[in-house]
Amino acid sequence: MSDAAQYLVTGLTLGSIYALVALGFVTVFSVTGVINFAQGEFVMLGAMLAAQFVQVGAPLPLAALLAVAGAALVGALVFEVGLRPARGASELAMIIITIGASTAIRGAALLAWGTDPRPLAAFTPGPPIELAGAAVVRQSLWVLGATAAVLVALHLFFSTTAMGRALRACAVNAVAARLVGISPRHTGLAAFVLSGAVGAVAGVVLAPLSYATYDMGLMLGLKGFVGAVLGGMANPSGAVAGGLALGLLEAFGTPISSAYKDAAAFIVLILAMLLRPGGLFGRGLGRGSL
Amino acid sequence: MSPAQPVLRLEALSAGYGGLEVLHGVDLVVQRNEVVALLGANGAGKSTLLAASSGLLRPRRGRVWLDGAEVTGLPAERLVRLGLAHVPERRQVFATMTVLENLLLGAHHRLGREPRAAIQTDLAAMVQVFPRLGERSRQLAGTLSGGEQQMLAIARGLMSRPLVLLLDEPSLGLAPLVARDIFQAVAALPARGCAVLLVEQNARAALQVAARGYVLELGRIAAEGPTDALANDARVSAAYLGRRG
Repeated sequence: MSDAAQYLVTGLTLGSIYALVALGFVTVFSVTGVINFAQGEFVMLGAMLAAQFVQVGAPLPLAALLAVAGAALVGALVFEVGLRPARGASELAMIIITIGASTAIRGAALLAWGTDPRPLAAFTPGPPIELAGAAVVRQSLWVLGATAAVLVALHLFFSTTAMGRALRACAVNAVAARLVGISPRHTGLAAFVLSGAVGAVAGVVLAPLSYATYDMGLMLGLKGFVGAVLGGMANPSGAVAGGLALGLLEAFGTPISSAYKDAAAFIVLILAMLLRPGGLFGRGLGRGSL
Repeated sequence: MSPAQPVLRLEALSAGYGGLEVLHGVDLVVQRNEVVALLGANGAGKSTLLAASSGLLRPRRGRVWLDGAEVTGLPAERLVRLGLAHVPERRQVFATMTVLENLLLGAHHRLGREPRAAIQTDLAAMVQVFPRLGERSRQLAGTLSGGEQQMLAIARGLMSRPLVLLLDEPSLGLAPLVARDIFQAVAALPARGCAVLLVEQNARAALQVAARGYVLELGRIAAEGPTDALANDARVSAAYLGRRG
């Protein structure tokens, strides 16, 4: 029983990170139609920048804020420098550009920080908290809390602000959005800034649990992508559910074989693509065909 | 701005898609506060003409003038700020957003530039013109009937405070009584300071609402003039009104 509780906590923690990454994918995809494979690098930048700023003496809240702002800025650059000049190009070309951007960001991180993992202290020091037979690492609570806070903030942004409304309009009907005066350039930029910031939040809260390394974004990005696909790619609540489901699957799969933990995500991805290409929840994009 | 300045003028406008040119050098004028009908068979280029005028499609040759200023090649999201609203075919409402959100999106470019009160006043005016929208303001647009969606699409276009509204097939798929309501609302637009370029399959209804008309055939203007003259033109009535002789 306590094993199950332990896996549950671990799964929800991991799953929260995946959910945030998946939300970044969904935000960019619904607004611009682009699958942004640089999404994982925003998580890496959040973790690395936060560790770096704390190391040079910034207090944690300031370091976190700067890290999120930095990743949002890189998100803006990916859109303005990488994608906007290529507007009108095929979806495949856009995806290749984001893969290129991801490689470039990872390379820049390698040059700047090297291959050594960087530590970031847990936000609140102290021993794990005993909860229903599980030992809950305090940082896990920060991860869950930050994820909940981001979800509430995104919900408020999309439902109550004019910019949020414009982004949703763009996702629902891009042509009609232009006809009411919403510029695809502005909404595309906003989507990338937003997904950069959300990814970085995941990185900042994750760093104390698993050192920050220059190449951590690749796997996290792919896991988040699996979450987004499970959720139907254009469905934010689906993406959160997909990310959480993947985290739980990995955690509960640990006793079977922790060596194949990462493989599980890709088996799920392949199954989802084959059986439910529109996502697990509700109507999606329909069955793919060759 | 002289009073004779047309609100929309197309000058030798050509446009198309890929290797296909659909519109070949069209001249067309819409004067301030008038309804102009654009008739033509399927594939004549009516929707292409609207798209090339509103900036959804970049014209290949020719010019577009809006209220005396040349706007050729400006994208749709800019033209709506300058006073041109395009209500496309099949309504294109934001289906998963509420009626109220759709209307507010219509005024998107005015947010932050005009006092909220001005936008609220226009919202109230739209509800007066289309009371059904007021009753259903919290409902998702996709759940409205076809006629209500058309009302919403027109109202959303009007929320941008246009000088001219390009309206594509508003009666498509609507019951005759519902279509009549829509045409009545369109006929009242010039009194609100909004001219209309009306594309319509139902030529009889369009000629009743409009003062002048154009007939588009294979991407060229084949006939133009006051609507009563067009209605009596033997060729026009045979092709579009279903009369013989």
